[in-house]
Amino acid sequence: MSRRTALPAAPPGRLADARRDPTRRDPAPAGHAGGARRRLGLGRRLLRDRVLLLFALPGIALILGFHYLPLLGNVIAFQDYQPFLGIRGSAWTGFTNFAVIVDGDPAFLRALGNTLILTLLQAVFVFPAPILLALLMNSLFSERIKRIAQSILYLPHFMSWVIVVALFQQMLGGSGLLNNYLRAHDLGTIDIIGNSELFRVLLTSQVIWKDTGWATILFLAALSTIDAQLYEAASVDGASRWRQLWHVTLPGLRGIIILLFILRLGDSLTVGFEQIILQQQAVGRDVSEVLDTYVYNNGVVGGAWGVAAAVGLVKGLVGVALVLVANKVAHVFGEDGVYSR
Amino acid sequence: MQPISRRTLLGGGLAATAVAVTGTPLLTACSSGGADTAAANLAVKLPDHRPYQGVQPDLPGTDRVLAGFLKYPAHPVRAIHEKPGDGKPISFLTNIPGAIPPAENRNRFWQAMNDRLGSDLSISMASNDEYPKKFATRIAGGDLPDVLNIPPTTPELPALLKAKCRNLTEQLSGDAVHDYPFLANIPTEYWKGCVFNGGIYGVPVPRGMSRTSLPLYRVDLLAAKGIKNPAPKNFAEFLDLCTAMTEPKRHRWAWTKAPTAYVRQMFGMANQWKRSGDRFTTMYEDEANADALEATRKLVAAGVVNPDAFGDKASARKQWFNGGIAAFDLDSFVAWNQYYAENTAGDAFSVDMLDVPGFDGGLGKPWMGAALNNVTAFSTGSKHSTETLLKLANWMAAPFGTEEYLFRKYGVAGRHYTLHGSDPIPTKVGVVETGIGLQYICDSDLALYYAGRPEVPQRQHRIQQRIADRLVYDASYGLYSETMSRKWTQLTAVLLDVENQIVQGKQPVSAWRPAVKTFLSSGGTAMKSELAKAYAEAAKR
Amino acid sequence: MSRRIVNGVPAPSWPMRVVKGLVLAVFCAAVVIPFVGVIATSVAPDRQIDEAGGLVLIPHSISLDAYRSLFAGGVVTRALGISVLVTVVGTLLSLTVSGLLAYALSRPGFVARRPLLLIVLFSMLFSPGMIPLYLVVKQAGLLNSIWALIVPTMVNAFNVIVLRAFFANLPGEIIESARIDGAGELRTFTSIVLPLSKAVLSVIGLFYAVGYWNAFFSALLYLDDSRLWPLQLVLRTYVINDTQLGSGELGTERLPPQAAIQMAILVVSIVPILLVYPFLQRHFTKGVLTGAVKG
Repeated sequence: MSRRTALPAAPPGRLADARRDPTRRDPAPAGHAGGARRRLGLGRRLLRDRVLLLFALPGIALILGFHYLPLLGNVIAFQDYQPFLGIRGSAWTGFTNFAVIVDGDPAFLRALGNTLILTLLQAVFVFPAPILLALLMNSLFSERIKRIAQSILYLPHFMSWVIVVALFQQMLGGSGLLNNYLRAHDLGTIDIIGNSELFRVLLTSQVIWKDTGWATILFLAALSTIDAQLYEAASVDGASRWRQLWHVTLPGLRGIIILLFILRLGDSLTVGFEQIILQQQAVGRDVSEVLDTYVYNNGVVGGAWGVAAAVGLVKGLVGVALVLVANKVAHVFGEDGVYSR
Repeated sequence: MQPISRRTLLGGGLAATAVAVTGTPLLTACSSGGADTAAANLAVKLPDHRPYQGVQPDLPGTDRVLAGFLKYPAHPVRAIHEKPGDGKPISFLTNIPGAIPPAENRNRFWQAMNDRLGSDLSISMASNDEYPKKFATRIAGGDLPDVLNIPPTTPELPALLKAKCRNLTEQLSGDAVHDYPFLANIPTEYWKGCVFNGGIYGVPVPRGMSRTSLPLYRVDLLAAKGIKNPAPKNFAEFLDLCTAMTEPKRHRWAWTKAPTAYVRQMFGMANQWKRSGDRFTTMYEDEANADALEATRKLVAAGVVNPDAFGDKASARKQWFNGGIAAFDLDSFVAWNQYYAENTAGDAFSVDMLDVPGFDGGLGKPWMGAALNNVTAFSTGSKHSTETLLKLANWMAAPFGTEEYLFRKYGVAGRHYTLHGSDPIPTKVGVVETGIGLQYICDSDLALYYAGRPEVPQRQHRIQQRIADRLVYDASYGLYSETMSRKWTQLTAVLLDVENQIVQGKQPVSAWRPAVKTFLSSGGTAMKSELAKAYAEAAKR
Repeated sequence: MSRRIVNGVPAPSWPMRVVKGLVLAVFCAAVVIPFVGVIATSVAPDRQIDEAGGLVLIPHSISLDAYRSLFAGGVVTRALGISVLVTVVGTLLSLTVSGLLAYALSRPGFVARRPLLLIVLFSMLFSPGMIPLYLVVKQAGLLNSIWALIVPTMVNAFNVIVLRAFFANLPGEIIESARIDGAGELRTFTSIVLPLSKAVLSVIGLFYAVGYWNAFFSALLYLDDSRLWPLQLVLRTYVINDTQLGSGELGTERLPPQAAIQMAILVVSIVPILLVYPFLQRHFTKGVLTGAVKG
């Protein structure tokens, strides 16, 4: 089987190669020949792409209307905003609300530090988990076991954090099922919940438990787009299962993995508000205070909407920077990232 | 921001929840009393207190002790003869403490109430946790309902009330309140929390004594260990009592939570704020904290507190206490009744409350519960006359023993409750349909009563009488401090965090002093001077 | 031992199968055991739940009280209907709008591709405040209508970006050949792109559906009339208040413990998803593209 026939079925990432082929670069939409395209003026091009513009219109309008328009309201980051006064009536305070970020308050630095540690833990342990699980399931011999396992593992995603936290406590807590059993049999107890040293491990495990199964579905979808003929070809060539994994499966997932990683990077200052605030009291703020809980505990609780907006803005800017840089890096390595060059 | 916050609880419903969150039996709520200038506020003549004489309690109340009833009066008097409504619908925004009730079209209680009111009440509800967000957006949107349950934690409360709500001074001040006999039946103390900007800006939803919290204990579980009428005379005896009720191997711990507040009361510490002369100090600054925290740490180290107690969920505490996993819980008279309502232990289930001894003997000083659950205000933009809205509040404040109260709390006989003798026993339908948040429009002072269990009000009345003279009040009630309105919750939460770490032995007791220093420098000192100023201005008059 | 070949892949060796089986079994057990607890607790007798401190693995007897009290009064049943309606209508609209947008953004020479893509991307990184969003929804006249639960969240940037990535990687020749055959954008989209993208469409559809199904916050802010509340907001009032039903200030007839109600709520809110899931699962656990492309 030739590489050419394999291409049509290539999954995200595989086609990066195809698109870098100069003769195939930028195939023009709407039936126009690629070569003539560049010479068209903007007006003509808009006219030519009117159907595509129409396609994009409802979605873009909704994003502008319900996202960017209310985003203008984030000017309250520069105000002592009070809901009863409104934006017009509230006092302008310049960069006062940003003080928490720049004045080096130890509590803020502690929150930032904890956030970064958790982000790192999530990048290393949480992010790859569904990929590994998807690969494992994909390599399963029995279609039935694969489906059953998948149908079980996605379930925890539908539990709210309130329930997940309660379940973990009742299974593993100091007066939970495990420790009651151990105590009743004189086996000593294991301090898991409420143990400050283990808190980050606990948070990470909870996220893995709750969302890994669910997150596999996107990777399974990507895997399903890999042409079975690629595997056949590889096995005709005598490739072992590991070589197939390396040369067919992983390249097939590369695009979507990079895409999701970049998107996650943009969100890296967010590490799970609800999950943490529910468990904060037991372990203490030294290990559990993260940016979002800090903003909540020091702003929202006292009705300081402006502070929350200010931190939100900064987080957004950091996210934009991270995404743009990561995308550039992806391009350097010949990947599409979120959008191609 | 994220939608959930376990910590922005309002005062609604169960005081237990508030305790769980703030770690003290008082809501910060209660301290948001005063106004822009204390002097102007003092000039307001508070509504006359004219107690309603139509119902005589079995156990008489005082200005501190609540009146008790062994059974519901057999022939409840109809106290209000005129429908309060003006025929047009009245809208009300509130939190509700429980599950969402059936909407008006499928709720016979709601329909019957509309009939009695003479106006349809349309109520928009949010659960306790989420109410501050709902409230803030509605305020920002400008589309206010006629009647507003104001979260007591709202910052800049005086300015908000001035901008959006009606000044009720003319209708309520002095003897003007006599036009609304059941508002006049609300003790003056509660009205102090409704005065802002030199005027009366709302009606109170009184709680006070019913929210006073002390150790509740399972009489039946203690009796099984041969302990009757426990009355520890000092901390050492208290520790022995706790140890006797702890048996981890059998999944038994004395306490649902670390009773830090109780130990503090043994040291006679302040109920949040204390005033001496014109100086205000917080409970946190008290030197005795070192000893109180060390003692609580000892309790925790002795293993008498459930190891999962620091997760501090009200539902977990209730489960443990009901299930006999814990024999003690630090909570209020309201929770006491609720425990009876929810227990699964059958008739044996029996609860009483401990008094507080001094740490080394003598008597401790219990803390008076927060005066108000919330203040309810009337929107300036409402199309109804102030008189109509006050009549509505008056109707909602009809006290225990009246026919209106029986309907308001229990619903319609047959459907919502059944009569056992003269006692109304709620049905499941009753529980579901009556929970529409009426108690937050206005309420009478609570009465001690539990349908079918006369020993409950008797015990409650006994302990209230015993502690009444020693109750410590929060000195900041009725005085407004802007810094407090903005920062009290967040700063005390930091202290609670340190406190939790100390009593768990994760930080040394010496960590307390620097934490208090930070508290003072990041707002505590400002609160002190603002309160002192407010007090001084008030005192000048 | 002869190795069977499935989909061109040789069956794994026995040791590998044991290792994989073990990993999967442990992971599944970690999910199944708590779930058994959830279901058992939702039907366990009250007394047992209280004595266990909240979680029961093996109920002494079966009691449906928790479910009965949930469905009493008809509030939950009605909310269930609203949720189904919002989820179905919302998901269809979302898939349509996002699919069209993602397709346009996936076309290589599309004139507005880059600016529009950046608009979509950055909207993921900045979230508007709760209050300004409320004001916009109010201005749009959506307050107190179930459209308030659909319109503001109809387009999700993440979903659009993922969809676009999958569309962009469809074989270019097929699209080109359709164009040469004279098919317009709409026909190319509906008859070529969509059929080739069943896997990702089912996943994104599921993402949207779950989003609509779980949403409660917009209902809390935008809907005053509790008759329009979706299931999750109604159920939340049972869980989040962290108190029992009833006002607590009176003696009340006893209701099932909070733990039983909580678990029953979880079961009730998961069942509809369990019913739908297998139909979608087919599309992404199995390759679908091979045959279609060659045909």
